[in-house]
Formats: sequence, C-alpha cells, structure tokens
Amino acid sequence: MASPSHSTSTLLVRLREHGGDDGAWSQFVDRYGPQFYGWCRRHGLQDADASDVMQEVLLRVAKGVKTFDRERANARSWLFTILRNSFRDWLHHRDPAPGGDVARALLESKEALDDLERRLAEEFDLERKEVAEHNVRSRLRGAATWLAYELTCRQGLSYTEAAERLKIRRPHVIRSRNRVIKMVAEEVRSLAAAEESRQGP
Amino acid sequence: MDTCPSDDLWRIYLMEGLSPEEDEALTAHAETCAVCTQTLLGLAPAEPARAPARPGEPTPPPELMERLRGLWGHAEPEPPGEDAEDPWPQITGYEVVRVLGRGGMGVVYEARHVALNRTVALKTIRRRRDAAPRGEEVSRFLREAEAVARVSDPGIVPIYEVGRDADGFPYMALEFCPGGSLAARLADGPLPPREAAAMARALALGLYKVHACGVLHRDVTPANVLAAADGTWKLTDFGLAKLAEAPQRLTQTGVVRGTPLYMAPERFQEGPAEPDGRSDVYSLGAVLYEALAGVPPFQGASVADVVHQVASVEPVPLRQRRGEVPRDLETICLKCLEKEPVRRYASAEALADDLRRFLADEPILARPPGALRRGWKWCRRHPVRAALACAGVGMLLILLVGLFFLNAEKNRTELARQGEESQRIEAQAQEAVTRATLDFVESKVFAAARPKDQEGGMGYDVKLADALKASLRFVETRFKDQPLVEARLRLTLGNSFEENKGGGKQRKTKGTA
Repeated sequence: MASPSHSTSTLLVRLREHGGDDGAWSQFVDRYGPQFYGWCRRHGLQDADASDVMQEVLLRVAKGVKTFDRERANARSWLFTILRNSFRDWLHHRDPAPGGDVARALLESKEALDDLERRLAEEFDLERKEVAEHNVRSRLRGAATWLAYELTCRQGLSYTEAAERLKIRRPHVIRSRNRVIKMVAEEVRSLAAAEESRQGP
Repeated sequence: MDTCPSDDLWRIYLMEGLSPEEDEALTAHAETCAVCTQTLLGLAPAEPARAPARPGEPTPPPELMERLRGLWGHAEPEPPGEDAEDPWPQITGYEVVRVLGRGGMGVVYEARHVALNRTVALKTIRRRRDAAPRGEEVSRFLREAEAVARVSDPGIVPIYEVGRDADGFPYMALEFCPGGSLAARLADGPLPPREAAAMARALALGLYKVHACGVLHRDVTPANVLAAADGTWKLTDFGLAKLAEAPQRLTQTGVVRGTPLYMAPERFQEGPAEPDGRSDVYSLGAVLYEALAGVPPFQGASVADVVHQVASVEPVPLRQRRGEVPRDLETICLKCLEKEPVRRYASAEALADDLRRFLADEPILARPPGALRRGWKWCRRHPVRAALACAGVGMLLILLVGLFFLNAEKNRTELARQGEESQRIEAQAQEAVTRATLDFVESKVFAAARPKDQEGGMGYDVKLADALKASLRFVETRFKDQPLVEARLRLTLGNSFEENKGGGKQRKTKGTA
C-alpha cells in the first residue's frame, strides 16, 4: 500500500516521516547521489574523493533528516545547507587530503555552489512533476485518458502506435494527451503553492 | 471537410465542447490532415521540463550506489496505488479540473459542465476508501442543498444542480467564484472601510433571505465568503445550516460545530435561548470586524480561550485598531457584536438598512453606548485593571476602618485619663495622624497606578503587590516620629502583601513592626 502522504509529499518529507520503509531512501540515493557525485567530478574531484564525500553527505542526510522541519524550512535550502556543511566537515577531518586543495577551492567557488543549487532545484522540480503525475494518474484511475499520456509522453510511442495499442482514434489520443499535460501542469502549480503556504510568510 | 477548421474550433474540440456530429467530423479530418495534427499538438500547454541530461558526466560506481541504497532498508518503491486519498469524482456531464479546497466534510472541485461549457464549483462529500457514504452525511448534505436552493439573492452563491456520481456519492454544482475567499483576501490586509461595508450589506441582505426561509446559516466566516466573477461578495457553504423544522442536533450531543472565532456567545450556551437569526448577525459582525481590522474580534491560544473571550470580554473598539474606520461603521459593527442578542440588530435586514444609511451618508440608527455602559464595557475589556481598581478601593476602606478603630481605642483610654483640654489636643493630634496616613496611602500606594512618567507612578498596569512593595519604602522615613502608625501600617501592608502574593519580603516587614 502506498502511504497516505505518498501522493503529495516529496522524498525528503517521506524520509522524515516514514524512514526508508517505503522505498524513499533508495529513490533519494538514486536521485541525489549521482547529481552530487557528478557535481564533484565536474568541479575537479577524483573518483575516489567524489565517492567518499558522496557517501559522507548521504549518511549525514540520513541521520539529519529527522531535524528537517517542513513547516519552517524550504526543503531545497535545507538540503543544500546540509550538503555543503557535511562536505566541509569531510574536508576538515581528512586533512591533509590528497586533492584537498581542489575540494577547498570547490567550497569557496561561488560558481560551483551555484551549480550545486541549480542541480538540486532541477531534481526538486522533477520530483514535484513525478508527484503530480502520480496524483493525476490515480485520479484518472488508469483510464485511457491517462494511458494516452503515458504511452506518448512517457514511453515515447508515436500517436499512431498509441492509437493502435489503445484501440482509439489518433486525434483522441492527442486530445487525451493534451488534457493530461494540462492537468499535470496545474497539479505542479498547486503542489508548489501548497509548499509555499505551508512555510508561511 | 475541405478547409481546415480554425484554431478556436480545435480548442473547443479539445475541451469536448462540440456536438457529437461536429466532433466526429473534426476527428475524421484530423486523422488525415497532418497540418491539423500539428495544430492540435501545439494547443497543449507547454509540458513541464524534464531534467536536462548531462551527457558525458561521470556517474558513481554501481557498487557504491548499491551499498548506499542498502544503508536504510532496501524496500523497493511501491507501485503507485490506484486508491489515492480522494479519487476525483466521475460525474456524467462534468469534467473535473482541480481541487479548490477541502473542508471537514467535503472536497470542492472546479469543474466544467461540458454541455453548457460553464465552469462550476462541485461540492462533494469526502470520499473514503472502500466506504459507502454514510446516511447521516448524505442527509446533512441534501439538507444543505435544499437550503441553498430555496434562496436566490446576489449575496448568496447559487446552486445549479444536485445529484449522485458514478459511485453513489452525492454532489452539488454551485456557481464558481473565481475571486477566492474573503479569508484569502484578508491575508493581504484589511478592506477599505466602504468596501467592507458594501460587502457586509450584500451578505446581510442574503442572510435576511435565508432567514426568511426558516434557515440559519450558522457558519458565517471569512472562509465562507467568496468573490464572484463580477467582484461582488457572496455567502456560501451551508454545511452547518439547519432547517428550522428539521430534527434537532444532527451533530453529536454537546459538540459545537463551527469556528468559535465568529460564533455568537449564545451558541456556546446550553439553555432555553435557541440561537436565531441574531446569531448569524453576530457572526457577520465578526466578519465585518475582521474585514476592517485585519484581525478577528477575539484571538486566543486555544479554543477554550476564545470561547471564554467571546462570552465575557468586550472586543477592542475598531478605531483603536484602525483609526481610519468611520465612527458610524464602528458603531454598527460593535452593535452586531453585542453579547446579548437583544442589544444587536433585530434582524439581518435591520443591519443591511443601517449599512445602507452609512453608505448613503445618512445618519444611522445604531447609537454608541452611553458613559455608564462604556464604563461597564471597559471593565469587561480590562478585567485585570478593573480588579486592581476594586482591590485598591477595598484596601483604602480597610485602612480607613483600621485607623478609625485605632483612634477610637486610643481616644477612649486617653479620655479616661486626661481632662477635656488635653482630650481636645490629643484628638487634634490624632486627626493629624489620620490625615497623614491617608495622605501617605494616597500619594504612595495608589501613586503607583499613575502613568510611569508621573511622580511615584509605575504605570497603569501595575500589580497590587508591586504597589505595596513600592510604598513600603516610604513607611520608615515618613512615620519616623510616629512609631505606632508606622507599626500599624507595616502590619496592614505586610498582610495585604502576603494575601496578595506571598514571598519573603512581607515577613521582614512584619518583623520590623
């Protein structure tokens, strides 16, 4: 069974409330691990260091997620802060590190930190869109309307193929697809609004 | 079809707003026309972007990923369930667009009536997994529908249709109010006074019609006041409306339904006085108050706190909260908020009339309370200060009586011992003592309640204990040559202090005595 908060919550909130039980942790690792690793490598760290620091920061998130207060903190800035701080601690504890200079420079480079923030923002947007798709899908109860979107937008089938598969006419596939795109976009907006209102002024 | 249909026609096609014949014709056309297929695809809103690929960027080693995933359980994600909390209702003829809001009992959706191409608000009963709608909820819902359907007024959100969806859950189609609720509007600050008055008047007229049908609204709150497409304010959500002739108390016994912030005091009281239209007048007054002041008349940390204030504390006058509120409008608003129903407007119509007079710059009928009532209201508004004043008067009396007996006692013994002449001298001396003591009480003890910037003043909010403490300082210096008076004063002050607060200080005081 999907947990009740599954449909409307981001990974961080699910982690905080249900631990890794509902698969949120695996999803979190799969989503944010490679982003962070890729960021380290892009800014000059070797594989060994990048792997090491990635492990460190993910551990810190796992331990620290209980302190994340969704009413107060913006999830994105919370995550950014904890990533940056655990990176700093990692650097501090393994001094003198091979490649320590690169890592230090990375922490002090505005451009690199901006890049990290941008990557986190992209992942958050993607996550929100997936939550929105999930919500729309369960509302439509897997009807043909949803399948038209699923096959064409998510699985990359052509409209003709989707029409054959669903045994409906091609313009109807497009009509359903358009409708779901609109619903998803609206759901994304209302999720964003809900997050904002939760954090208050 | 020889020529390609216009974009507008395709838009209607996408919304399924065409007749079946037209729809069929356009479908057939699009199946063969590549241009129109592109048109159709282009009419979709831009799809939210997917995460950009970063080709060539290194990825972490798979075994590291595996290890990290295992760090915290290793359950695979559940497939998305089909049974989300609130699956959207499937109602023939309507296309549900989005959730507008959720209440205790129901969910409100924005939907489109396909045939009429009209946007409506669809109100439904909250749906539970595998749960059939409960009879009580349905009957409440239907009575609500009945109540709304009986009223037609610009101040009331009209109801279009009532029915049941594919699963047997009842629904209600209401006029869609795109302007949102008054509660949301007030988050940006209070309304201009005249606009607030016009709103209250529209709502009062609507309420009057509702009352005339034998229906009380019972839940007039800013959340239930909506801005229609034309900008006018309308009352909605008759979830608590109780038809006058319906059986009593559908809710559990003793459970008060509604928001206490806007509920009339008599709504909390069990007793012969059944709430009537004047309870709604009170709630509307509370809504008007918040529209003008930005805050509800009473705020409290808990429901019990609010209930207590509603029952026994007077609201802060509007003009103290916001100086630009016209005096007449304040008078009208506070008349609605009177604790006793008989002091309020007798009907919503009377309230609407007075608001009309205010808006037309005519003299209003409501009168501000007189001086005596204002004093009484002040006491209700400032129970602590009133109690302090009472305690002060009481103290003074005790001191006077005490001094009287002290003198009488002394006079009697002295008289017995001395002649008339010395008697007279002594009596004069005693009188001087009494006067000195009174002066002292006046200038030192009660001085503490003066504003801070005046001599001896500690501010109006001073506690009795603080005043006593402050005055003790003067006892010694002032009555140095009159040890008996000093001792007596110390004792009295010490006792008062003990009764008032306790602590170590008064013991020392009495010790000196």
